[in-house]
Amino acid sequence: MIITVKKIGIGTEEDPIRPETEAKNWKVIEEYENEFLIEISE
Amino acid sequence: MFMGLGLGTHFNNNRSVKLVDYFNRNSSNVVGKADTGQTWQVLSGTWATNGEKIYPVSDVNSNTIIIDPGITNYKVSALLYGQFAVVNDLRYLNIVFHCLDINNYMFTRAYANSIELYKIVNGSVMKIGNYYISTPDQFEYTITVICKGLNVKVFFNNIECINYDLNGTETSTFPNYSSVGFRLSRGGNPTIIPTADNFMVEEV
Repeated sequence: MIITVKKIGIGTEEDPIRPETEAKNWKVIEEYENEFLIEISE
Repeated sequence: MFMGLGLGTHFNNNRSVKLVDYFNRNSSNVVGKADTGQTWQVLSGTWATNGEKIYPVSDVNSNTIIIDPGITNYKVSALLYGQFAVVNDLRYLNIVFHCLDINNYMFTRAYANSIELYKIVNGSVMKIGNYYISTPDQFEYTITVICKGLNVKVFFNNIECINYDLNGTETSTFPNYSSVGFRLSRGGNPTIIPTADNFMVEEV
């Protein structure tokens, strides 16, 4: 499943920039200014 | 009459192997050179060899050491040992790859039942992939990364966990960065010393 989610985090080790998702298995397909297009598996 | 046959070919009988370091040398407060001759470069912290393994002497999160295999399409792997099951008490090494400098590189790590993929661009840390898998704590495990063109694959104990295609500005930067190495993740009150061994880079 490919969805668009909000970008969260400030870009530090403790709080990296990342997609806002509860999914365990995901990867970034594309990155936008304030959002990620991510693919979720399982 | 066959004595001597094959001498000197330990690392050369497979042309795809570009860099090997088993750290089987006397303990030292500098890491020095890999078995194949390339020189380790400390980006931050202090690194040493002990017990025929590499480990970070300084105990500061994100301390990093790299080495340049001279190629950008490669399979890099290492045998790692660390502590990461308890989220707040951790000390273990990450695999660094596609590294330009301390502020621009990619890394992957096992962490509390996940394999994670990160990029650092101009010093900003971004998590770009995650795969859930059981990660036994304080046991040796192998992380392998295969970088080929715009693709990055990450394996945990030979199980493929992440298959990532570089996109956007990543496509014109990371594929050109050749250096690989180790990075320390450290937090809380860990009890063990993290190590790495059997470091190898093969051309793919």
